Amino acid sequence: MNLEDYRTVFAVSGLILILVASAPTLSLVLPLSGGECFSELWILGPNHMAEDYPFNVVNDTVYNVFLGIGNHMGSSAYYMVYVKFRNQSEPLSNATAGMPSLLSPLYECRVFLRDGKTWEAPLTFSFSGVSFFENQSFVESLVINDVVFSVGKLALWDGGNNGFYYQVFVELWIYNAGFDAFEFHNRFVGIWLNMTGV
Amino acid sequence: MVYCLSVKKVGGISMVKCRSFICFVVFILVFSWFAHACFAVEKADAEEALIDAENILSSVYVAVLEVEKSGGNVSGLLVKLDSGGNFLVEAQMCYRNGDFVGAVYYADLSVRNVTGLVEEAGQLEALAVGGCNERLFQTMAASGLAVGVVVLGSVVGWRIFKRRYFEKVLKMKPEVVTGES
Repeated sequence: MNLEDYRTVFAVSGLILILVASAPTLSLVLPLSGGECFSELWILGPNHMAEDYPFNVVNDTVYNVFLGIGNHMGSSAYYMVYVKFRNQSEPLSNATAGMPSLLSPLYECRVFLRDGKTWEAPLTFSFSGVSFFENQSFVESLVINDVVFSVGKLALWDGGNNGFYYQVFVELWIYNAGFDAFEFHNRFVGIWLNMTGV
Repeated sequence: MVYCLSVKKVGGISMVKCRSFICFVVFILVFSWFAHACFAVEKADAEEALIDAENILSSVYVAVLEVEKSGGNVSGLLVKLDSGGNFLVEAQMCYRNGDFVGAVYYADLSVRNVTGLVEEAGQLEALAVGGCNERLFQTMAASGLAVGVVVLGSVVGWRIFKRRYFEKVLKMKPEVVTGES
């Protein structure tokens, strides 16, 4: 190596050291792109596991599941969870179009969650005023976390799957400070229920 | 005469009865009118209370976001916001079930829970901004010092290296290679 080569090595080493020394300041001044921003929404069974979900349901029996949210939005978030109830023919939320279900929410939860944190709460539900008539079943009211909601929901017999099917599902909404309003966060999850008896 | 008196008496009683009946009907009508008005006001009150609580909760959340952006610790604020949100949920449930008194009560509780949080958030933000500026200054000073040391070290190091290099080169003896023209 001649002197010029050594000079280059010195210059490059010096530059690298300068970059290393100024990295703390650069990290404070330059905005670093974080990871992907998203939120999680889940329903777990009564044992906090993704199993043993209630499926065959009857009148006046309490069922337990757990509802959870995870915040990975890069900052604290203000969430609203809507619990809705539908039969097979009623519309579900559309994830592709980013549209929520048109059904009115029954129960709601509001959660303020820090970035990287999760929230979980029990969701108990039961049915009352269940009746069957020929090929249809009728649910008069749904009790969610001890609050009674008059639903008056009818389900027709599903011959293919042998049952009267209903669905309890939850939608995740998030507060948009820019619009000063909640917007559908394009997350929803639900459990199918087969009404089997009174 | 007796007959006339009795007729008058009977007529008087029937008039009294008739008046009482009219008064009763009027009372019922007026009561129902006012009762309806009372309930209408109550519902409007509940709606207003819910909207107020919703707006206050949102504004506090926005203030909390600002604190967080400044690097402040918002854990305590979020806990209070959460309880305010829970009361607002209760208020919404009451409203949907037609319990407007309950709705107003819980909406007020929600507001009371988050009252003063905007000011608290402002203080936290000021603290956070102060702390952030101090940290930035310290970091920049440390980085500047480090860069200065690196530059100075490089220059001095290079000069020392160059001198030693030349000394080494000058100490080298010329080598005569035989067999070449």
